[in-house]
Amino acid sequence: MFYDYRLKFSKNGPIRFVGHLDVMRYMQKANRRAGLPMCYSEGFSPHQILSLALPLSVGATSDGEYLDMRLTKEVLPDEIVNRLNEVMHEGIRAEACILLPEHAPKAMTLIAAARYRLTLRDAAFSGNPDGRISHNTDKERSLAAEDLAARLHTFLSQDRIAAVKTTKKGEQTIDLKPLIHEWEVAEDGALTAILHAGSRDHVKPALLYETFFRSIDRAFSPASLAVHRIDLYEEVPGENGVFRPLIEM
Amino acid sequence: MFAADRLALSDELLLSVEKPERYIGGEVNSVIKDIKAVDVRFAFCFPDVYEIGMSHIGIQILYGLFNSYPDVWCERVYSPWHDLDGVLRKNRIPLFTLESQDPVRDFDFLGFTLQYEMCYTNVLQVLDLSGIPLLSEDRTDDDPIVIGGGPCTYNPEPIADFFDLFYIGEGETQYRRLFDLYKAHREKGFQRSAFLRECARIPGIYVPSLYETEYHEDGMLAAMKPRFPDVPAVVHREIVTDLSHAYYPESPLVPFIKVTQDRVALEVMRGCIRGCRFCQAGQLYKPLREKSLEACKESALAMLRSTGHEEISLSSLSSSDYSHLPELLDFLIETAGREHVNVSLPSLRIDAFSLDVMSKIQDVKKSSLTFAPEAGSQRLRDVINKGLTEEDILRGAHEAFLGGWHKVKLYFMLGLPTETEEDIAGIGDIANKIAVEYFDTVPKEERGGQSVEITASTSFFVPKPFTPFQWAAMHTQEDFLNRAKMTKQGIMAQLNQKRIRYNWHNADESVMEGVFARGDRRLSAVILDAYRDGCMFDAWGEQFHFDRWMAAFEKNGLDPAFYYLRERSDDELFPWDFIDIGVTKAFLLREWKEALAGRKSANCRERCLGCGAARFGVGVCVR
Ligand code: SF4
Repeated sequence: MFYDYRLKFSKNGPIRFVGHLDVMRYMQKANRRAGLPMCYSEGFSPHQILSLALPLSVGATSDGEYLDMRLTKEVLPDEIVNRLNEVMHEGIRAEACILLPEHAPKAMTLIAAARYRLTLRDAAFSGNPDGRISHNTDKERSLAAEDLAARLHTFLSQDRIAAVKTTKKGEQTIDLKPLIHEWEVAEDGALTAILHAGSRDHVKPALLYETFFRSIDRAFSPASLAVHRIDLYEEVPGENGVFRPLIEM
Repeated sequence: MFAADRLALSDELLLSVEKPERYIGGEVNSVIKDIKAVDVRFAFCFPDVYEIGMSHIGIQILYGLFNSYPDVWCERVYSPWHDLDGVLRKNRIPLFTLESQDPVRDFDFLGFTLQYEMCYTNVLQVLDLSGIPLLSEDRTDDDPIVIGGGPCTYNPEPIADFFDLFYIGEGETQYRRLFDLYKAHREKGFQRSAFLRECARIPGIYVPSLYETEYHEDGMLAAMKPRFPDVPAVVHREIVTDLSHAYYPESPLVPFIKVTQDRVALEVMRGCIRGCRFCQAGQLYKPLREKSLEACKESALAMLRSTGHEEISLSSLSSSDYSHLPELLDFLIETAGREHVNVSLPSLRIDAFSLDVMSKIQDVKKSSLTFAPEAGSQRLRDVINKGLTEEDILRGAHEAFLGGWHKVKLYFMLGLPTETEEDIAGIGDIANKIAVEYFDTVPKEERGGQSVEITASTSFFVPKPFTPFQWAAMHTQEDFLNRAKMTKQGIMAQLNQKRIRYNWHNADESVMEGVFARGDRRLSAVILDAYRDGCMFDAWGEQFHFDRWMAAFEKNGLDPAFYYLRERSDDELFPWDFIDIGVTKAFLLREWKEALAGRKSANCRERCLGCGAARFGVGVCVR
């Protein structure tokens, strides 16, 4: 007998530099420290049965990460959250947990979209994409930010946003517009958007910004984009284009 | 918003280097303290890349011990890899510790654990990036006290100029006293020279600047003397007398990234009863002291719980010699079965008992058996006092093949004292005999499409201080490579050569290791020049620039041959003779003579050889 759970967790602070494979290793050890009755695979080097919904790039923070995990006993979801938070370290926190019905599909197969908050770091304003800190004065910077907001707005308002996506098969031009489900640009240039996600037509925030930068004729360095993932969504069954978080809080 | 957390580097810089996780700290069980509440800040450095440094159990022990003192905060720092090294230099960012991310140069102490000679240029890199003067004599009252510990400090002379202090022996015993002395000096107005002078009176502490050396015309050491009457002429090694009750961390650090030893390391004993004559660790940690079974069990459970690690490994020089091994393994295997923990068992002698245990915890088909005969013939194994016979190996292999294993790893050294062509030929011979044993033991129908796979590896013998071979000569690179070639030919000539793979080690690095292992103070200048010429990460094969090292020797008018090619006379004064490890020079010399006569010696449990370590009054000496 086993029980499948979906855990929502956040990843903030310095731990944003820990890659997703290492986050998996971290979660396995945390589960053990928490003494959760984890279900293990067979064989000489058994491992926990876990799957992460969607990898997050190194350097990105998130309030909406999801992990499916299998336990051998039933534990109250709140207890899982509490027990994990007792042994968690800086930056990673269990936020919510649900017991999944039998044969529920994995989070990674459900994902349809992701909400992000995207901002540009200083280097992008100063035109120093190699990462050197800008020496612009505050005034110049705020001007640049306003400018950025306006340009982003224009960019996203187009009917068609042609982007060049590099895949295993080579370069491919796609239209990003239908894959941007919702967006809002704040005065300071921060973009909040729901982007299509999952195995098909996945839109990486960096692709969006690379395309934007090309449209304003500037070079883009992925390190200058600060990515914060707010949540991951599935499509509400039968309702095309209506999304809900993988765990409704 | 994005650089506002505690990190020393901006996101852009961190994202520009490989594995930024190496530099962010914040690992599970890392310790954060309030700097206002501590008196002593200690930066502990393993001068190599993070993944290697984090795997070292000595740091884990002292990190936990120091942080158990309320007035001390111990943090860690490792060698920044080349990419970050460049970033720090270019942006003039001082090297920082992982926990607080504060500059190392603001600390009270910077401690290095010196595990191998090839890390010396990395010590200079860390000092340099920290903005601490490389030479002890150039440091001011505001610079951290630079202290070294670990196996290389048993001949600290080649790096004497870079260190203010060395700690000779096991770190658990005297650091508290050192910190108290430091605090007392801070209170009364700190003066570096006065503090260092008083440190010399703490047992186990060696203050290199308080000694002077004289050399004979032929370059040999004539004398090494304290410069002041209150400075001891001999520094005695510190040891832990009761391992069962000594501090051992319950909550070791758990790195985010996969490191070399990604598991709980359970120390079951220190020291070794077997006096292999090439082995430095065997002499340095005498006498053998065991940790009680109870202490081992408790420690294992506590560490598994606090880390969440999925693997535990025994740590000792020769685990098979641990008296309670069967009980401990039963316990671990039972825990393993219940809690899904892997048990890994390095340094076990291959016999019926260990094979039985291993078959319970390993995938027999995938794992390999390891034998370390070290030398190809019985004659030479007697010279080095390695008590492993060909019969032992073949019997072990036979039983292992019956048990389903088919992979065997063999380790040898080339260039051991008295080695002849026949000894070298013996390497191919024994590898072939193992293959024959396989074919005789496992009938064709039972091989399941597999065959025996034998890997023979050779390293070049490097004589180390405080071993019976400290008098021995090393060989030139050409000679070494010739020996490797002969080994290869010997293997190729075997009937089953297709089943045997052969690897050998780089000879240039071995030579350099040999020079530093038995070097003297004059080498500090060479190391400094080599570092200034770009040498760093010398232990990393591809980073090793032999030509730059040779240029540094030349510039300083020193000949490497003097240090490694020469057989020492019985009465030569060695640069490390001022250290008393417990084992006497007279005993080592006797063993050297026995080696040359081809005679084996007993191990400590068979018969006490009177090595001198009995003066500690503990462990195997006082059964
Ligand atoms: S004094 Fe004897 S028993 Fe003790 S370590 Fe030396 S040889 Fe072994």
